[in-house]
Amino acid sequence: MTLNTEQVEPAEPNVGTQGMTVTARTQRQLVTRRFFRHKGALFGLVLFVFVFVLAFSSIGFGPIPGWWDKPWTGSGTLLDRGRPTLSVIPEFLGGSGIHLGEHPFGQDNLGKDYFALTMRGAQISIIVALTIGLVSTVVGTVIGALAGYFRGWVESVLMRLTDVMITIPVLIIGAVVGQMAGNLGPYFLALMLGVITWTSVARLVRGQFLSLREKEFVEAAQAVGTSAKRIIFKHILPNTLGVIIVSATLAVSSGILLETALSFIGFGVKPPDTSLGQLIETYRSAMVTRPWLFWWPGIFIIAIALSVNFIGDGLRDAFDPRQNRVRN
Amino acid sequence: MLAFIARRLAISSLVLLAATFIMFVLVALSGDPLGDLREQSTPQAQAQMAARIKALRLDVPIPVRYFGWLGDLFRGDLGVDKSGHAVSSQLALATTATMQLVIVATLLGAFIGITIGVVSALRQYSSFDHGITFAAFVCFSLPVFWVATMLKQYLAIEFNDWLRDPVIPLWVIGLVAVFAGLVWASIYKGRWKGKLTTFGIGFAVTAVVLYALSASHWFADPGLGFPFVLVVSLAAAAGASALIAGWENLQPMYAALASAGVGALLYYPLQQVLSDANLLSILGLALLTIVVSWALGHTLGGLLRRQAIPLAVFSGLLTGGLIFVDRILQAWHSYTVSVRNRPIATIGSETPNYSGDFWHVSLDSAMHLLLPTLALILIGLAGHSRYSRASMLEVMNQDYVRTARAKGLPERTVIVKHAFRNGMIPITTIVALDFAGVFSGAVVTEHVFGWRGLGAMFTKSLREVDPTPVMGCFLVAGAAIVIWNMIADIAYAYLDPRIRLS
Amino acid sequence: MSYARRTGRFLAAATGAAILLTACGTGEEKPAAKDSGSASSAPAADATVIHAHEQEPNSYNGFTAEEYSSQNHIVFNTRVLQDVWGYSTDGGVARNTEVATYEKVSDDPLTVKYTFNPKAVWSDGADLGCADVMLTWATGSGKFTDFSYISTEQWGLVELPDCKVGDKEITLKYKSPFVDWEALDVVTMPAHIVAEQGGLTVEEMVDAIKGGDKAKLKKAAEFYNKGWLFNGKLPDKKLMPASGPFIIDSYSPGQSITLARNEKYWGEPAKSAKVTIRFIPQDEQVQALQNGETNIIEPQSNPDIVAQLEGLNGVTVKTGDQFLYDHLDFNFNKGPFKDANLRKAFALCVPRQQIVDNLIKPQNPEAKTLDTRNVVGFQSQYADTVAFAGGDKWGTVDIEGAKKLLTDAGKSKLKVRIGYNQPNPRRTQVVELIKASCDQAGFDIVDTGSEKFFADGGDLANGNFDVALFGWAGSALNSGWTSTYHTVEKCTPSGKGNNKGCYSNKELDKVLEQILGETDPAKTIELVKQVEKTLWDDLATIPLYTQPALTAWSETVQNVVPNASQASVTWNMHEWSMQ
Repeated sequence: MTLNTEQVEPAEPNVGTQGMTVTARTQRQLVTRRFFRHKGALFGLVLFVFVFVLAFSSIGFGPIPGWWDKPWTGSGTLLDRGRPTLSVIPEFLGGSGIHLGEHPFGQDNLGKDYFALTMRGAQISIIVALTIGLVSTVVGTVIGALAGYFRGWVESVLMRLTDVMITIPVLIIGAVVGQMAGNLGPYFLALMLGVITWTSVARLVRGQFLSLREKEFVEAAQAVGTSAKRIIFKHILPNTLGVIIVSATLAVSSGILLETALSFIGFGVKPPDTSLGQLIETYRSAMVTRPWLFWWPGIFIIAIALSVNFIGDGLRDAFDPRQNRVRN
Repeated sequence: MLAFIARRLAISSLVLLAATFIMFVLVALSGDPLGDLREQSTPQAQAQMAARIKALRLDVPIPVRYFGWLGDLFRGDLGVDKSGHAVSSQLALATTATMQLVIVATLLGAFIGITIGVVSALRQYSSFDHGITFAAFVCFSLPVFWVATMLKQYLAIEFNDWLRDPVIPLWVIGLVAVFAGLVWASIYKGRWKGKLTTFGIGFAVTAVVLYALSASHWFADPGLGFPFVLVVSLAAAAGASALIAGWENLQPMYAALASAGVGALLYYPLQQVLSDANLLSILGLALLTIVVSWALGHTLGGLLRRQAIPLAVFSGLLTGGLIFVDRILQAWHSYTVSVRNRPIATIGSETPNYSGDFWHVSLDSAMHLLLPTLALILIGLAGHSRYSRASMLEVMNQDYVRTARAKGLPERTVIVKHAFRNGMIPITTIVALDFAGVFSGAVVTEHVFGWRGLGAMFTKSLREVDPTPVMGCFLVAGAAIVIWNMIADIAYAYLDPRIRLS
Repeated sequence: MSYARRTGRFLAAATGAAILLTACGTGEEKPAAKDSGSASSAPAADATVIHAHEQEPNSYNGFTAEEYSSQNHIVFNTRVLQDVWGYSTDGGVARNTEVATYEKVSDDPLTVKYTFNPKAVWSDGADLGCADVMLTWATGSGKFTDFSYISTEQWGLVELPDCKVGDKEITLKYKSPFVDWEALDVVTMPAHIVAEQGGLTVEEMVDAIKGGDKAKLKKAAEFYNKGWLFNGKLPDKKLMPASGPFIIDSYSPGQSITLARNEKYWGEPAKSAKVTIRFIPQDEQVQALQNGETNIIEPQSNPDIVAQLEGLNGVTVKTGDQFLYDHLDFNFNKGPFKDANLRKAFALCVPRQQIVDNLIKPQNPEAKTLDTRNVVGFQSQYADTVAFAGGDKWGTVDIEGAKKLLTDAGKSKLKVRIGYNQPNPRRTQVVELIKASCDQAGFDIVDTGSEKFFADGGDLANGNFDVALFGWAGSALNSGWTSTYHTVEKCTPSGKGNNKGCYSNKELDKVLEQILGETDPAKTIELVKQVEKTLWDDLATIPLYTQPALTAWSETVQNVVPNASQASVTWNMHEWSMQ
């Protein structure tokens, strides 16, 4: 859109088009800098850190106690039909002031504190999502790298395996795995879901490897007799890091929704443990009568998935070397 | 090419075969098929258990059961479920139901998503772009059933309540108008003065329209009317030809306008024909429209026939579509009366025992499809808009686009001819792949909206640990994915000369 | 020309046009819509009553072992295929005198005489009587194994009836007395259809049954087992005559099945011309009722659904008990509870009242603890039975008493594993409440609920539990539950049957056997009282609560009466009517 002269913005000074003014920056510095200039990404990061810290510090995790005094298990007495006591409207605006109150998110039918329950759900959902993201990325990267680097029969076998996995819709195999693994706890479920969702990462990494292995620097490394292991890990992999990180964030955000959908059709995290998806499913019938039971977990799912998506978007832009040319 | 397809097919079949084994074993291991019977103290429980053990062949090892199933499959028999019902007939019904749901949602989702994506790419880093990006990410992050439950509550139940007295409160009109104004202003590219004007126009138009609709009780008895059909179809024809062929090329525009005009002028004569229409006559009319429009394009198109013909056909079909919508809306009032004034349905794919003419039955299906399709579109929209935006941006930075601009081509030509076409090539793959995603989404949507499609069949059988129907669903879903992937590959090869010619 | 200005112009033009259009549109469309709207045939909203049920029926014949399930029964075996009896609202036996009257004519041997209504015919005009009873005998007696039939327990005791085709009076003679003789399914499926499809005349079929000619009935049996299955569509309607006020009208796979008034019905005709059963998932039923897409629902009860339904205008909500109760079973085979005193200590600390208050009352305000096992609160003999058996003594928690018993036995921190099937949030909460209470008395309650609790090789089968928490589906009939408390031959996974804890009391065994052979209902009630007393004295099991049932219907429908038995609310659908 260079035709529109009014719209042209000044070229950014840090990219090397103006040679002399640029101090050398490492790739990492460049990426970090670009990432933090991305407003959406920054917003996502802040939101994610907030949710993460809130979820894990409030009710504590494992043996570490949190600052919130009510447990997410044990029942209590119902106060005011379990209505939330959270108030954010200050008094001078006619509200009841800014305070958390006894049960900020309300209570469920047994009098369980819903804030603690939602935090527990958020913890599990975050852990499940991160585990899915991590496992699928690691598995996918290894398979993709091996297939892309070695070609030949290794590639055929691995890519046919990938094809087999792709053929099975994720929700279907997820449901089967969920039904089998659901009662072994959320961590095992997440691990299993990670083990079946690596296919897109593998394809992506393979594609990258296929093109990078033909590049001169790889040929040079091979010529001086560098081992395959070293070439893969020291030479090619760092160059594909951007793609991998971006797809890892995508895997995290789709992981959280996968777990939610599985919980809904009854194949996800099983009680007594809980997750955000599980909470929505349990209290879906309360949407009209006690809406807070339905809204809070939904809001947290959106907050987590949204923040991860924005982080992923920021990372994609940051890793893309052509980024700065895109501005018109 | 043929060899390529054959090879792909052979490999895909083997892949699918391997996948069936994994699935079968997983399903068979996934639970206790006798679970529900163990809690019954009735004397019948023992007999029921024995019958089920026999039906599911629980007395033989899983691999033996798998090869039994596979053997039947090769004989063209999909087997029976645990109570002896043929899987094939269930599967046929379920597939039809799911296809109804998925196809409309995929097409609409792709169309709207791509449009939004392209516009936001052309307005990169504008507030429209930021707004769309944000909205797309929110859609990305929504659990389907959460949305679906809310759609049912607010768009069906409360909307139906509201229809009893369809008056839009003034503050709602105001809010919607402000929002519409903001959207228009954010698309507008220019200085704040222009933006402000655009906002004002957008605001005013929306407010006036909503007020008029509300005051005339339009929602109780909606319709479009001849003037609306005429003007909108002509405007759309003009707009489309301006976009594709440009203002300066008049022949395509004449063709499009002629085709739209002829269609619109047939509004009144058509009413008689349409009053006792059926699916066949509608399809016939559509075909006739295509033929006539094609002829108009051919005659009026002159040297620019290659552009004029598709434009004329598009305009003709659009006009026909408007008339169709107008006619179906005429059935609205009597339809709402017949369903006790609650036209928007929350459950199932039809009103039980509904009988009426073609328009009523169509309206009935449409009202049942409305919410699930909307839920699926919302989810699919996000992906399409993101991918098409990225793809467009990628292309806009290519050297050939720069060259095209450098040689002084108008911006419209650069975008429509050089950028858009190339930008859409990767999208074909995405749309095909996304079909699988929508399929997964349908599993959840079907449950919320009480459709008995593949998803419902799948979850029910899986819960009962009954592998045969699960495998049936999987075969359909898997085969659909394999075939779509292959179509995508072929389309890709066809569209991309680099692949086609190599 | 600047691109921006051009865009602006276009935008302005477009929006300007839009004003005109919509103004035109709104002004003009009115008359067009009006005249065509009135011209088109407005489909009338006929007075069909719509009932929602989650599962779709899949066979007209719900008597085979494969198809014996509620989705078939609630549609067909209430008012389409009528029998000589049905379940009454309290789950007891209600005789259907429109079909036949019957009486016990002799106790030894037990002989029952059935007199069919002389006007009784199938909806295709075929005679209803002897031939149909003969068919039921053939399928249920176990003599013709080609027929799949759900249970031979009762018909296996009946001797070959001696009647000929066309007879309206049939006498059944039992080889040994049987407690639930009143609840014998006498007319099941239409014999003339089975005969015709088996290539026989009705007479030939009855003769073959009398002669024990299996080969001749092979084809008929094949049809009986498979011919009535719905494979995506209904079988030929000619094959499905009705014996009740409704016949099948139409079926839309995955959507609904509609029953229409049977014009050939000889008794009181159905009040509503049509009744539709729509297949709607349980958790979507409330919204469907709210949106007028169904008139009657029976959703899974939970406090929010009850509250939401009660908040709706024009909807009647009824909560109550059903024949489904949860209970704690002790393990008599191994573990601490072989000791009666420890069982007593445990029973003293189980907060039965609190469990009902916290978990059941929000859904059924009238809920009480269940103090018997084989009689339910809404049955008339309940209060008497409780008083006699002394179940009400175990209502209050006595931590001190429990503590004393434990110390006397020299136990402290006694580990108790409570097993149940997961996921089941309510039972998880029950265990939470028991743990809160019993840990104070010196027990150490461990929640060992698992997904595989009921499975082959699961905890329940293998006896890997100290206390098992699960439910029994019951009925007012007595033949079903007696084996649950009868001494087992061998305490192995396959040998113990329903007696999961291998409880044994030789005295009780005799009473249980007596019940099975007792044909006088009044005497049966007395025997059941004794059983309940023994079970409380021995603390064989601890009953907790009946699971709450929920029925809701729009007020435009008349005569909806919930039914606690398996027959469900459809039991009187012939009396439903729309206002």
